[in-house]
Amino acid sequence: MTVAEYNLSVEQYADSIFRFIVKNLKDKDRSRDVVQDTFTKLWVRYTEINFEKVKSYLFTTAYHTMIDMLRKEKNIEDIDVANFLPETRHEQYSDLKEVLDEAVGKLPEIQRSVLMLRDYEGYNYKEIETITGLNENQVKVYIYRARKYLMNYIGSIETVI
Amino acid sequence: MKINRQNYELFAIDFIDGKMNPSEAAVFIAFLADNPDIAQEIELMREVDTEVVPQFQKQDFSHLMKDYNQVGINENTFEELCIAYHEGDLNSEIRQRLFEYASLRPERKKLLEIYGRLKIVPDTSIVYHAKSDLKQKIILRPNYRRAALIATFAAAASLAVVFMLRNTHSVSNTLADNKTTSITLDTGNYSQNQVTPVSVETAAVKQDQPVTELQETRRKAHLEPNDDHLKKVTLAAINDSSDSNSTDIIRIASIKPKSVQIEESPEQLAIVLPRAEIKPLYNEEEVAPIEEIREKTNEIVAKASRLSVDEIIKTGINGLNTIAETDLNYQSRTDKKGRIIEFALSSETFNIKRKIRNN
Repeated sequence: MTVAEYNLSVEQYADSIFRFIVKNLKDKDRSRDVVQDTFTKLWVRYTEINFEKVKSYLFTTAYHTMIDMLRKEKNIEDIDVANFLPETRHEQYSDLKEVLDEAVGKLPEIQRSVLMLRDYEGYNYKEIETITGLNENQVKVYIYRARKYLMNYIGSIETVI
Repeated sequence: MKINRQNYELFAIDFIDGKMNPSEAAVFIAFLADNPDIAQEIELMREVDTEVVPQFQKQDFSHLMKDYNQVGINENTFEELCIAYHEGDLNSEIRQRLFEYASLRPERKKLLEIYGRLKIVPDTSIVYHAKSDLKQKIILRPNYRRAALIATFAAAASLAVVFMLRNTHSVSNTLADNKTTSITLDTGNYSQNQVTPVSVETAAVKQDQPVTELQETRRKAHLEPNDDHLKKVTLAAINDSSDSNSTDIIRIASIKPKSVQIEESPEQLAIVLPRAEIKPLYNEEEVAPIEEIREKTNEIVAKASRLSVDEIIKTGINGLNTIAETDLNYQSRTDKKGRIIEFALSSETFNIKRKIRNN
């Protein structure tokens, strides 16, 4: 790609990548580091990358950068174990989006990433496989499992107005 | 090392890649033993390194993979089929059957609808503000040599044009004492209103006689329809009292009579042209001496290129035609040394031919 196309990719994808990482890391500063790192890696190889495939390249790079960061920083004590247990909310919510955002935040990292790639960016199983390095069946399993978790988190039907 | 269902994926990667030491692998295997569904999941992801985890032999779980289109619809499978429905993993036949199954059961129908609303949407208020820091500047690396050559050629061509026009000053186009000059109409049949470019042949006029440019508004003349001879006519330019600098060197830049008045006489026809103003192309004061122009031209040529003056002029004129959309036509003859000995510069409105003596 050209320099102009590189700059265009910044304009087109920086927000969505940042959004994706923030939702996973829940830390804007670290997320900015991931975004900067991602585009730096793209810049190093921009002449080799086709502009039509830059989105996939960016998300793949951002995802793996994020995973590497999590693996380096994994601190079991920091993880709120209790948050994992699929909760059943009995409170009433007027905003389903608010509930879903809260539920997504409690998913395991990879499940959350896969689900966001699916819903935020509209990637299919095959594309998510390419980005995450998982196989297609695994991607499917994670998505199904995430959907079930969200449903259980929402609770009974009456809690959703 | 605490492994749980929340963080197992981070360890799974190392486990699958065989990067865990035996004690870590043992902890992970114990976790898998307590979570068979995750164990199946790990198995699906990668081939297990049996040297690290000998107890965990590679097993074939392909039979566990579901084709939702082959699965029967019942209470045990309904939820997963709801997910498959909204993920687009069902064919039209199964979709229809599922929908019909749910329609008969209100609670199932609501569940199917709610699964359709579990799609998360991005929070567009989250934006990356420092995009300018990520962008790269497009640095233009001009070809300085090329740019210098182009500028030089254009300057050389301009100087060459000035040089040639300056040289033609010896062929005076100024008016005679009697305010007339001679021109030759080298054309065939004339007809009224025929536009004919003329070339100025002689000059015997005073320099201080202001010459006015032709105006196209006055139409007087007519020409003999059967005149097919080359006629020598006399141009009678009517002095205009308009302001003209007597020190100006006048060039008739354009003579384009749309109509002329011809007064026949035994020896010649006198063409009375309407009043006109000829605007000076340049002031003598602004024109450098010929020698200086020649020196500069040669200097430019020597510095910029090995091209001859003739080639530079051609290049420059082509450039001017391109940039300024002029229609200058330059033709030349050169001697064996490449020096110009004869040239012609013309356009739609003028035509200059000259021979040059090279010392």
